[in-house]
Amino acid sequence: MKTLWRRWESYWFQPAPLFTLAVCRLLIVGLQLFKLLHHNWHAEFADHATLPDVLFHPLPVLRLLTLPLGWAGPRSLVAGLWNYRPALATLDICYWGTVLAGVLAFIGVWTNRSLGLFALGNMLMVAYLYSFGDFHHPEAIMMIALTVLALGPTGGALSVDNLRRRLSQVVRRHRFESRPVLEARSEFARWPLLVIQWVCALIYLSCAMSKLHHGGFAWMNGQTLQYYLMEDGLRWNKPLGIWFSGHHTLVAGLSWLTMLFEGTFFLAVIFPWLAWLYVPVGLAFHYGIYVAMDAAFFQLMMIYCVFVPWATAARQAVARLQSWGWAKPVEIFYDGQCPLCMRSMTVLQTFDWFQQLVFSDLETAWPRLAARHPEVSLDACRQDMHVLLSDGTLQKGFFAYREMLKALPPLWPLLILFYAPFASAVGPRLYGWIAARRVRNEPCTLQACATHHHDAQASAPSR
Amino acid sequence: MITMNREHGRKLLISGVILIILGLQGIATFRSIERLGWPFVSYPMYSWPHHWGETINRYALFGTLENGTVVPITADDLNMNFWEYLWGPAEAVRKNKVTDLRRYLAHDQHLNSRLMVEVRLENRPVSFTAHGADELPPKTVNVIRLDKTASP
Repeated sequence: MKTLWRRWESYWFQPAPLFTLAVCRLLIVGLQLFKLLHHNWHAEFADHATLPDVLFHPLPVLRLLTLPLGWAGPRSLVAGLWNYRPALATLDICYWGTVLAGVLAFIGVWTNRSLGLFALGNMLMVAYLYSFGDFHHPEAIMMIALTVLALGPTGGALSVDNLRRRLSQVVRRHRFESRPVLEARSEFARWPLLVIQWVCALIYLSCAMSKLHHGGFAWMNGQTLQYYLMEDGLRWNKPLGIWFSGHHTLVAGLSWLTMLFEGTFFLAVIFPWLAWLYVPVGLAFHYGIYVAMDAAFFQLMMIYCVFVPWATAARQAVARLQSWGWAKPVEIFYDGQCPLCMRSMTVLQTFDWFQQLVFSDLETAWPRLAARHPEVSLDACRQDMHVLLSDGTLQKGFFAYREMLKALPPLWPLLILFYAPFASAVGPRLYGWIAARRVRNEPCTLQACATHHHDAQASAPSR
Repeated sequence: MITMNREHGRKLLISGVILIILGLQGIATFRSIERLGWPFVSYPMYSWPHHWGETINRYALFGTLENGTVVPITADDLNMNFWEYLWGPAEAVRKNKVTDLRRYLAHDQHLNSRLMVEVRLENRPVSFTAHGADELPPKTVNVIRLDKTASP
């Protein structure tokens, strides 16, 4: 039993990068949020609100989610609780609440709670629209994925939650500790992605088994897929579908490929390296279905992101870019006695997704910097933050920040401000004004000082 | 030690969640639980085999107004999407469900201020061949005459 548990534990709870989970959160929540904002949900709710009660057959999940609202229903208690039909105003409130929860989940504020509410809100709204006899599949996987993500440590990186946590640590410990975002790991960061991967595999297996169950090998005769291409092509006016439906041999080949893809997709979960084959094929497969048959599975396509090892991919991309000379690390000499500087370093590191910044405490790294740039004084470095660029040049203050921003792609939009007209004149003054008013802790000389006992270990530059 | 126990408990709890989610999707994979289990559903679409020579049906509804004018009744007229239209009013006419049809027509009257005295379901089929679609002559599937005095 213990061996079984250990195997289970090492599969689902193996430490994994929080960065990968966070990127998946951004992509999946981002797409669903886009769908909420892009589509006119109010108009759709209003259309459905006009439909007669005879058409309303609530899905069980809608009954469950609206159970608390049923108390206010006009009918008898049991019937009201169980058959509650949300009013248009209720749905509109739910919509805006869900959008708000989605925005918070995206930026990572109270991530688990906001993501949970986002999942429930989406489920309620989609289930309502599917309670009128019309029933589709693309949203189902999205609802499951959002729910699963809400239960994992999805706010452990790339989130306001994580930034707040780190800032409070800086304040508590009076020191900045470099923790590269790509290196943070958790043993709870792997299971949500694995669960979503397995759900994808089961969905494809369901497709393949259903085809074999209903048609056996006759499904691959080419005629079946020709029929569906023609039917949907005519119904939704898709010329590509109609064109394909007239080419039997080509369609017969596609039928076999479809069956092979759906029936063996689970291999991509068991052997992760196969995802490099299945994911691009799957994207092409769904895009083809969309163009030829108007069957849009964009959510499933986005959910493929759970197969990508984002942290490894980012590390490899950086190594490649550095070898080509396109990515140039920047070394920051920050004032380790200045709380504002330490907080700034924490914020900068939160956005350093590609590990382009090297953080060096000025007090310990000063001999190295002085040897390289004898023209600079320690006092000048304490007064203005300095950065050392990869070509050996030194920049300070406002211009140092400008160089750092160039190394942080998520913050590139801010470069507009840094390169705005008169920014080179106003920026240094603003920086000087803030720098002059910052508080600086006096270094203590006591051996037992908790703030500085780590300095000996921190003498080497850290990423 | 407390931390270890808490971590272990958390893992046990999550293991339960994993089993429930994969169990529900697994059941949906092997048994059709459609509406009951949504969002855990099976995916049987496009599964039934077809052969050349079969017919693809394309249904449309037409209504006759009191003054004898024949007008199309589209999904948009009823604030419905294609599938709601097909499984709602079109199915009601096809299966001669007059009571259901009256409800849809009352809905149409409310939205479009028109009163139908007759509704016809027409099929404009195409024949499915190896090289594409052949148009077939349109067929009237069913006609329902409505008694003006009866209310939905």
